[in-house]
Amino acid sequence: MGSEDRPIRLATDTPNECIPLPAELCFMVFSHLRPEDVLSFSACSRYCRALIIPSLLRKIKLGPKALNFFKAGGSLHTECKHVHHITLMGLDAYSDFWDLARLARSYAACLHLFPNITHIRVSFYTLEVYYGAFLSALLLSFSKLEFFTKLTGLDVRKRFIDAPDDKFNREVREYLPKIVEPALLQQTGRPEDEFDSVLPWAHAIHGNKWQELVFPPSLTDCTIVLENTSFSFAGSDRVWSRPNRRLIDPYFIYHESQQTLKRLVIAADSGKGDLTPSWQTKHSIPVVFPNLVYLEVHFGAGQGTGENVRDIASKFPNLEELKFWGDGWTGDGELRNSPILALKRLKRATLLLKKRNSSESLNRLASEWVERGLERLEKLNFVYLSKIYKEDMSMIQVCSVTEVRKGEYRDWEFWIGHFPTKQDDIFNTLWEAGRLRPDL
Amino acid sequence: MSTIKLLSSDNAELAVDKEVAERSILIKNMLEDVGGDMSDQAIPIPNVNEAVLRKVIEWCEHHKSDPPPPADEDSDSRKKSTDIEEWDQKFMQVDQEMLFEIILAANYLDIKPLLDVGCKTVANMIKGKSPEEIRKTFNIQNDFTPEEEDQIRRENEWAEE
Repeated sequence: MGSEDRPIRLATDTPNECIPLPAELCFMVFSHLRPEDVLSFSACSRYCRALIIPSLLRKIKLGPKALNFFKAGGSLHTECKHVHHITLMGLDAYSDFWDLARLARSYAACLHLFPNITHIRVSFYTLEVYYGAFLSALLLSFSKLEFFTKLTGLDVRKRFIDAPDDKFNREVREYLPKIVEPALLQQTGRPEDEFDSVLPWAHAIHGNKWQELVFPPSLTDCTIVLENTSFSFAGSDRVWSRPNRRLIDPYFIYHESQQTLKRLVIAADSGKGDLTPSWQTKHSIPVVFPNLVYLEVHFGAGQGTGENVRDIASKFPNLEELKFWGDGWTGDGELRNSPILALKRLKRATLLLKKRNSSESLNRLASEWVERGLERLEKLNFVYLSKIYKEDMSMIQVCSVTEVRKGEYRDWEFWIGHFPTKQDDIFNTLWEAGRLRPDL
Repeated sequence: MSTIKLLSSDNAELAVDKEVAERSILIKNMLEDVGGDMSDQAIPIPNVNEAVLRKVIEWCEHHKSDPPPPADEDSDSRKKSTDIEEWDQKFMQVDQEMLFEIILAANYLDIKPLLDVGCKTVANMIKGKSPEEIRKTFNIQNDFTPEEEDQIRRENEWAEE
């Protein structure tokens, strides 16, 4: 990677140096190609490159290497304006905290190069007790940038991974609390320039900067995937006592976008399993999302109660599609009078059931719901999970679906995969199911 | 079955079954607009010459009873696949000039499945090739300096991260 790289002059006035089709038809051709072939094509001539660069850069994955091309003096620097979607790479790899924080900071420090970002996607991996903080620190740094208020898409995922090893735990536990105190920095045995890069993060996590934290105000599309809803930070008493209580909660991220949010995917495996942010319960602030039409919620096993469904109905009154991956609401007698009946605009729903019900009875139930006010209902998927044990004692989750459409039903099923060790990891299983069959 | 006449850009009049011609959404809409009766008047197709128009009609003849494309036509499976059925492959074995003319005509006449086949054919000519091979295929002049070429090669790596 050479620092000698400079922007290449691209020609827009020599269309004969390309295939003889107008640009929109060229793009139709490219739509049939894999990215690597499009890249090869872009290397044919100045005109080809000029044609492709804007669309190529629309959606990018930003890794440490790519960053260098976009930085001031880099060869793609002048093209930064074309970037709309950014996926920040590398934060979900196992690494020590210092590396993660440094990488995150280098992203935060360069995102101002991309004035037209509308979507950010980041999956990250940090220690359980700190992951909320890590994300918050990331958002804090984004919030200072110009695009922040224009951000319409945010997709943050905690990578599903087994518990980090001891080294990682120890580093965070030992060093992080110390590095907010300059005097204690010396004791960590780390070189001083590292402190400079990580210090602001440590401050964000442990210091007093919470009040500065703001969240994207105009999201239309938001995905939050965490393994645990608890956003409480280590020693959370201190945080709880602060005036800005919303920081305790992952839902603050989308609550700021109350008027704009249209699609929300939230996955959080937790005993709390509650969509109501704690600050709302405490302050009784009514929150309604008038424009939200699509909601996908993932809970863990036995979670997702009638109370949650009621909460959804009051918060998202105009919901048209609901995927409710929690079976805590489907006990005996609960289905008939489900709070789902409050979602008058519902067109499609995927609902997880605790018990296997006959397809006929589910079909009747659907008809009854329509009669009782869900007049727009087009399609219901009732999902029931079961397990098959194979000879080698590995387990396969079977997802059985009763699909009901306007009085007709059909049953189908698919396998989710082998789970030799995580027998009760319903949360991951369901997440996988949703990914495997987006048509569900 | 009723027949209509099409007038190519080079003034050739071609008689076509209405059903065949209506594979073109442009012609279909046009006929609907005039109430379907164009039996004595040729429809001018000013952007397409006779040779290309004959070729396009040949395709429409063969595909006249195809079911309409699925509503979800923008699905990834359609986009990413460059599979072309055998008859269409043979049909598209023409010189490059004709191939691009067919694509332009399909676009103008609004015959989506033909446009798709055409674009896939071109995509297949690009697939898996190096920039140098692509240049040779389409006779594209390389106007980069060797240094720039080298730089682009490195730049393109970012996408592979």
